[in-house]
Amino acid sequence: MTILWLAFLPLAVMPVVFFLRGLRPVAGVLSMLTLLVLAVAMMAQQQTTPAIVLGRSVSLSVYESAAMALSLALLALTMLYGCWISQGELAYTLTLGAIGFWIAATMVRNMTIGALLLEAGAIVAVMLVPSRREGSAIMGIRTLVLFVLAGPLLLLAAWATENALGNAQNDLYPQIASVALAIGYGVALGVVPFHIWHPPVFRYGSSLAAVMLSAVLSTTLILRLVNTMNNFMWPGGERLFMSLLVNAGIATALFGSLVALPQRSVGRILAYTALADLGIVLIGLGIGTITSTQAALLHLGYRSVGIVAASMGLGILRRSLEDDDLDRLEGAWRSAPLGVIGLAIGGLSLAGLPLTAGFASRLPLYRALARDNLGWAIVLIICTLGPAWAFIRCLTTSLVSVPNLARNKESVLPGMLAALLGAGLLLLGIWPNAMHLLSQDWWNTVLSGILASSR
Amino acid sequence: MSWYQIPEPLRSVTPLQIALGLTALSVVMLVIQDRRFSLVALLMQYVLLGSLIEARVYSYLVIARLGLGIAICLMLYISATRVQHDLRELRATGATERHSWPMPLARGMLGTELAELPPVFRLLAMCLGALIAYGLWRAYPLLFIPQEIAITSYGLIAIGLLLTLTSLDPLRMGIGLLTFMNGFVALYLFLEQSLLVMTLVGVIEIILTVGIVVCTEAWLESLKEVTV
Repeated sequence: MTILWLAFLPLAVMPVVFFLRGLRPVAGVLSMLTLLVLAVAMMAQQQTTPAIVLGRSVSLSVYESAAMALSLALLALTMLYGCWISQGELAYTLTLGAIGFWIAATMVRNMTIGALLLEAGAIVAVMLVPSRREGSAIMGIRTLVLFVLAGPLLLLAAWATENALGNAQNDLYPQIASVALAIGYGVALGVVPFHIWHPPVFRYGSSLAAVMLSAVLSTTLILRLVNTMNNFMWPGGERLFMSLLVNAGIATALFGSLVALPQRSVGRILAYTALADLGIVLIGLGIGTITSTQAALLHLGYRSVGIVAASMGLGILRRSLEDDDLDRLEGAWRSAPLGVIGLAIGGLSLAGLPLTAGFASRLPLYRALARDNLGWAIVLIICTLGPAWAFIRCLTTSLVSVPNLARNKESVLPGMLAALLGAGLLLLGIWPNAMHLLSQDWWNTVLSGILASSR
Repeated sequence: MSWYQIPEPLRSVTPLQIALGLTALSVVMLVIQDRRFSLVALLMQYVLLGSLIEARVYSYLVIARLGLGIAICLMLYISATRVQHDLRELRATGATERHSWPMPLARGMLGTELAELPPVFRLLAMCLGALIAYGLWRAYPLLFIPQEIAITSYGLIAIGLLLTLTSLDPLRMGIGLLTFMNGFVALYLFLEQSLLVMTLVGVIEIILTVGIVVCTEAWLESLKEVTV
């Protein structure tokens, strides 16, 4: 059976959800079910033999299926959360549209078509950012500008890469491809110094917007980047990009960690922490050993769970406190305890604090980096303290007792979702082998898929 | 002449005349106050670009891009009319802002008054765009693309970026983005002529237009919320 239905299903359900947008719980549950069906179908997916559609190869490897399945399951939870805490009138429609494009982008092996589908999905997802909230529309269009600029660069990179592979003598094509690929992916991923869209999305966008752009888009982009590096590299290109990934990763991790510390808005703290964590994933991919690649892809998954838990917590707190300023957090423990738990554990896992899942997957990455460069590894470990301290400050502020404070009480069910995800991150941090509770055969196939993608 | 070909009068225009026409349109877009007139300039841009590339690419593609341009401009026109109307109304009622920062209404008003900036500033901005385009063309001449198309594309890319960077409201920034995309697509048509790729580029331009409209509507709503 063709795997194309995986991309078409969300696009087919999209118009139905659009017409049901007035009935938020119905639209939310329908979207959630669609995403769950897709996630289960992805989990059941074995390595497919490539199909040819309009002359282009289409397939899905097992580790791509696993990564997308996790993203879809997390999005399904965010949809459920959205039944209680509104994410915007068009949120479900736009999410399904963007997911359809991104699944197609992951399946298509052609660089040009893949870049176009990624771009289309990213533009749809950016529409989740603008709302009636002051400043969100301007931040939305600025993010749109950056993604639109990234698209042509990725197209140029695809064209130059194809030519570089065919004309080994001509130095111009590899040069164009290197610059366009590095800047295009840098902008789309939000790597320093192209990270400027990242903080406003967390500050002004809904929880769903943050999850879509920071977690799901990053996963899709990294899957495409790994695919490009495995299949479309000209001689010498692979080594150049490995080194670029490590350097960009170190810069992103350091910058994010240092800038998270002095922030006064919880949204911005979360944004910079997620940015720093992305840097760690890039370092793992750049080192390129079997262990580091496996750990980086596992860390990418834990990062997504951390972002979802923390974003849900942040959304609950915003609703309860009507702002996300640090000073407003005083007394939040009383009005929104589950939201505080989700935010704190999700944030601390993103920061890589011991006893959280983020630390379990960071440890092998620190080790791998220390083997290459002990100095940078030590600096990165010390920098972990920045975001961790920022979240501990949020937690202690929320515990401050403020008598007679009139605030909205949190809804229990979305709070439970955030807290459950937080509990999962703690469980994986304390008992990392819990992952082996998953089917051993499936897990071995995923690991062997990742193995094939590492050097 | 078949239905899918550019009309004869437009086909007889020389590339130099078209390049000059596109430059004049860029000036109009950068300077003009009313957003609806900027959209007329954007539509003319699609027509002139179509006639510039018509002889060198598949005719159906040119007609498809013209149709796309009309659809995009119509979608934006509805938003532009609303923006002009609502901003005029807000100004007429003497709306004041509840907050002193970030002053979105003041920024919105400034957006309508960009044309009132000194002519020297406008001239300098245009010269900067032209210089960037010329510099890029000299540094990277792209020998596999006809030179009149290369310089025109560079010009549109530079003006589009300049318009995006100097604008203060989503609609103007969006018009800048679409100009940038026009410049890029004119170049890209010579690198890649696959129908599937060009269809997807068209789909992206439509989605981008919807994105611009969504941001513009949200901006208008937020302006009304922060005013009393």
